Amino acid sequence: MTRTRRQIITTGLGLAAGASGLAVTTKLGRHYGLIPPDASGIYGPGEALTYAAQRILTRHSLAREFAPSQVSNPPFANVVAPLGDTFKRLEEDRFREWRLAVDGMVAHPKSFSLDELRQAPNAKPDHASRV
Amino acid sequence: MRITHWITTLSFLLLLLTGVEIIISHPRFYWGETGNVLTRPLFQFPIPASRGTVPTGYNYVLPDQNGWSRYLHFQAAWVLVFTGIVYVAFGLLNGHFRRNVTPTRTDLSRRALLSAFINHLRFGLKDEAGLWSYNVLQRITYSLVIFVLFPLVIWTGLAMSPAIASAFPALVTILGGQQSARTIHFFVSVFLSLFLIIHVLMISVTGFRARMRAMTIGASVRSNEQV
Repeated sequence: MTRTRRQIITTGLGLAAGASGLAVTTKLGRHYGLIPPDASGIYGPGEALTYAAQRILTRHSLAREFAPSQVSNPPFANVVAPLGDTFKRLEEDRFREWRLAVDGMVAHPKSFSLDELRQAPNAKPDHASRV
Repeated sequence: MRITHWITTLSFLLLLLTGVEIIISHPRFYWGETGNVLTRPLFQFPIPASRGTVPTGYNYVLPDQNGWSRYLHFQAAWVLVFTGIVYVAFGLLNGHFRRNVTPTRTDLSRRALLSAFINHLRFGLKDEAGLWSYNVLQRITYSLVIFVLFPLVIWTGLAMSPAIASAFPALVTILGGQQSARTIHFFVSVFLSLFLIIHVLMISVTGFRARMRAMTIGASVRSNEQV
């Protein structure tokens, strides 16, 4: 198959436009924190797309909440229960000493005990009373 | 247009391979929102799992290929979705769907359907004009694959994502829950695989080389190929 000069020029321009478009997108993505830390390597492009799509879609969404009837009983503690020494010590005390730390990119880093969490307002108040 | 077919083929085969690996890590299927080793499965495959924590009744754990499989499954899915968008856009714009893919109204009359069906059962394939345009059964099948099965497999795939579930909970609840989405995803993949097998089989029956030529370099087939 022969290619005309016009076809070669069009293809060249198309490739150049694609490459510069990709460079601009990557730069914008980096600026808005849409590029994941594992964006290199052969699965990088897929990871970056998934990561960026999730960041964009979930900017204002909260995790789903379930009615108590939908909660598994007994719960399945993923692969292995985290039975470190700290866990055992906290367990003996029925987790009274345990605190949930909220830090990182937050305005007011804070930590909460289990009791404080139970009293915290809930996105769906009808479930809160039963937790 | 032709190139989208082959990109889709490649990504579908990769999705199939990695999908099988992902199933092997947990070969149990559930219905509803919840599913784990403590819930009763809807059904399960009689194979060992690639994770020791999944009870399969076998005293054997298969090698775990989950890591790269999940990465590749997502990457191939992105490729498939983008290719699909390009394909559907072109198909709508240049009239390919209207002319060649969607069945016409007269095709769908009961008599026409019946005669096409009987003709198909008799292997009545060898008429030259009919070989290079789609008959009504093919049109129905292709329309189902393009407009029902692929959208459904993408939807159920997305519905398994907790991020999507948090942003659009309805996408999950309509399907009956996250585990239902996974089960439907599996069955739609089975149907797509069946389509792939029959598709390749029919191409072999009606002249593999001529059709491969038509779908790759696009040589005009009607004039110079004996099928």
